[in-house]
Amino acid sequence: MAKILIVDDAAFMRITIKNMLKKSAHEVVGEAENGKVAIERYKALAPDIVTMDITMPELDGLQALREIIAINPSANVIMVSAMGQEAMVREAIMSGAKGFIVKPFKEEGILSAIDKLA
Amino acid sequence: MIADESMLDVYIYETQQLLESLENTLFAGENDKRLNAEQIDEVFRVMHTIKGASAMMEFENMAKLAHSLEDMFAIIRDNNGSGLSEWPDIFDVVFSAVSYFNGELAKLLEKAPMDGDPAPLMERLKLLVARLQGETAAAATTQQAAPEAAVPAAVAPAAAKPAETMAPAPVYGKGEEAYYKIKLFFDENSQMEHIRAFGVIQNIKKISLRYAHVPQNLDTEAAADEIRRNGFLIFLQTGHNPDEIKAILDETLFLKSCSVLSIEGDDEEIPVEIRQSKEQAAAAASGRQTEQQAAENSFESVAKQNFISVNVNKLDSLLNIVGEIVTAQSMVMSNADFGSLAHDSFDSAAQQLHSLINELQDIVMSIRMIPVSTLFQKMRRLVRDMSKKFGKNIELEIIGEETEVDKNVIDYLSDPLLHIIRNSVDHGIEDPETRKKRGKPASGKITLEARMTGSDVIVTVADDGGGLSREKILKKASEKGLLTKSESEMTDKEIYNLIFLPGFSTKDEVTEYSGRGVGMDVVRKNIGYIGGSVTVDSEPGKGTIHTIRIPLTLTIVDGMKFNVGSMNFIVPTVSVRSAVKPNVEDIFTDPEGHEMIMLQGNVYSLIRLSEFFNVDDAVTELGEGMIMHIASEEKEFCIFFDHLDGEYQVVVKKLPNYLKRCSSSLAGIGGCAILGDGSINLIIDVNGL
Repeated sequence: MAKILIVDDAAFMRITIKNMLKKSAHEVVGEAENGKVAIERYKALAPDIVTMDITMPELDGLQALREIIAINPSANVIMVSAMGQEAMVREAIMSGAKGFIVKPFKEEGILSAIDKLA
Repeated sequence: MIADESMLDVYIYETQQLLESLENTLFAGENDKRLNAEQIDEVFRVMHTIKGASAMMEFENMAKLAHSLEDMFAIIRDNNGSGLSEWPDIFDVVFSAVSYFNGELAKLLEKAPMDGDPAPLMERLKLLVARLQGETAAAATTQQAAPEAAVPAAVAPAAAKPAETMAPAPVYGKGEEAYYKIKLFFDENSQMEHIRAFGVIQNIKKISLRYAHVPQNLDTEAAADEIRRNGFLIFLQTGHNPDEIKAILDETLFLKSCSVLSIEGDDEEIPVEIRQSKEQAAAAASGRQTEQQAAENSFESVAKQNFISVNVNKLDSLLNIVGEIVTAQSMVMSNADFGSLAHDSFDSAAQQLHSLINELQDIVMSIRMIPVSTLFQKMRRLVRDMSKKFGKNIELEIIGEETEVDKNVIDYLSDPLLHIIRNSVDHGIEDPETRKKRGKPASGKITLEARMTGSDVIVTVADDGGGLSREKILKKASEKGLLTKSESEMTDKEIYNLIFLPGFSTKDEVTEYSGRGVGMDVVRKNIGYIGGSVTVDSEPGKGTIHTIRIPLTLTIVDGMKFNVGSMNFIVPTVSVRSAVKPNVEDIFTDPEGHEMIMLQGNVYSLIRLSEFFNVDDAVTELGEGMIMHIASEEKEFCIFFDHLDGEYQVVVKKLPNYLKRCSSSLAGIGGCAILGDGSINLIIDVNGL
């Protein structure tokens, strides 16, 4: 069982992911609506896994990822991307993201990614 | 994905919010005839979010359209959006898209099929993008390829090293390290397989001396296809053993299968172009960052969330319950069982309960208050679209959009406002030539204002158009038999307000926006539902002003209770000026047969409610009943009834629908209320008498 932090500016996506994880053994310990908050919550909650949206106001997912990797180089961050964001995802991988998932995804998809890192 | 109700709610709510803020951004930008970098970013982000959420909900059309818009704004962003000649078209297409999204959401809310066809919009977008690309290509120098240009400036320096993503085609010669061939497949539907392969290479790179992969170019969609079909092949030279390699590969997300085979360095299978390459070996794994300890226990408190969103249905039931409590309270307080007993301590406890319930009521009402800004912004859109359509230049000035009203009010106010503004744009404001002839500025102006006055919210819509025509209205009204007084008796204001009568409409021609046969009477009716009233005034040649008056609290009103025969009525206290026993001598009949009464030096018409509502068992002798002087903004008159029961605070209930269906005329009745004693009382609609 892993502690999970969900980062997405869209409440809809946060709820969706949370609902998908409900039935799993994992626990969503926090949510953040932008990169800035994500970093704060990461420090405060020390989650095992972070799901990170890329396009967000204030501080985007890439910058938040870099900050989190700077705090903990082995942090498990899964980028939540969409078609058309190939370049960003590449950046994220080079910056230390453990992988990515592409919207729209299904429950099995996100669970398999999280189970792998848990 | 199977979405449950709450997710659907959130989806709709959030998407609507996004569209709203998007529209505001567009309006702000349209004034400058372009969007600035920040605004472009915002549009891009909104579209991205809608795309993602819609795709998750499997609303393909919405997702597709949002995706196309996102793509277009990526192009605009990369061109800094400056100096584009396409801005007017961009605004148009995005506005149309917002309408499309809103339309689909509305269908979703009504559980209707989301059958809007985005194809025409997509076609417009495609053409626009082609033009934009023509322009960007001309503007841009050499530099990056188009799709990859979606990297924001902050990360661009790193991205500008494409060499890193290409295999430094290794030489397979002699060395201590062994050679391996890896073949892997990703899960079906994992998507963006070429980027996944790129991710694998990033990890493999760290442990290999040399490596190569097939497909070699991981920058294109075509690579993703190939990997999906044939798998991803990696050849590498490394000192690590197969288990270690496998362990690293196993970290890959969405890895379906992978095999690690030991091969010879000169294996035929290795792509020829790679075998022949003479390039220097890439440096092997090094500089791997040492792991740091996770951040010290930080007890930084997590920022508290100060807002929650609540389904409005819950607020409705909360309000209903508060209404019931008010009723129950009066049932207890005026309970007949107490008789004439003295009960001081009960009274003081009851008083405390009463003030607490009042407070509760205030809080519940305040929760339901939202600013009219959202509604007003919608009108901005309407004015914009319509003035384009009619070739008129119209500016909409909005004042007091922060004024708060009950959520219900917003719902009921929307259609009337739309209607009034349509009328102003269509019939009120003249075309530019006429305006010039009349010595007015070419562009017309509509002022939409909301303000608070004591117990009411006042919303006015004023235009500087031609004004209403007294003569036309009188002519039409007499044609339709709507006049109740002779023309000479009517004030200008009374004449103007004839337009609110059912069946009145002066414009013969029907346009898309106004004059669909739904007249101003609907405006009055809708506003009547929420206990409000609407009046109009006009000055020929100068313009027209509509004034909508809405009570702040809708559902709980103070009213005077009286009866007519066995019927109980309540009239809102705000409309009551006085109630007296009449002097029979003061009542007379005018030449047309209407009963009139002289009250404090003024003459008012007298309405016998028993006649108005056809009550049989009521008092008919004027000396035995009572007179109430009633005044609203539009009329002042007196009613005759049997006897007054006192003042009550009542919860207004809408008349049940079946009543509306079975009775042709409910004129004069605005709703009903159940009092503490269980009696049903009809609430008088003053303007309907």
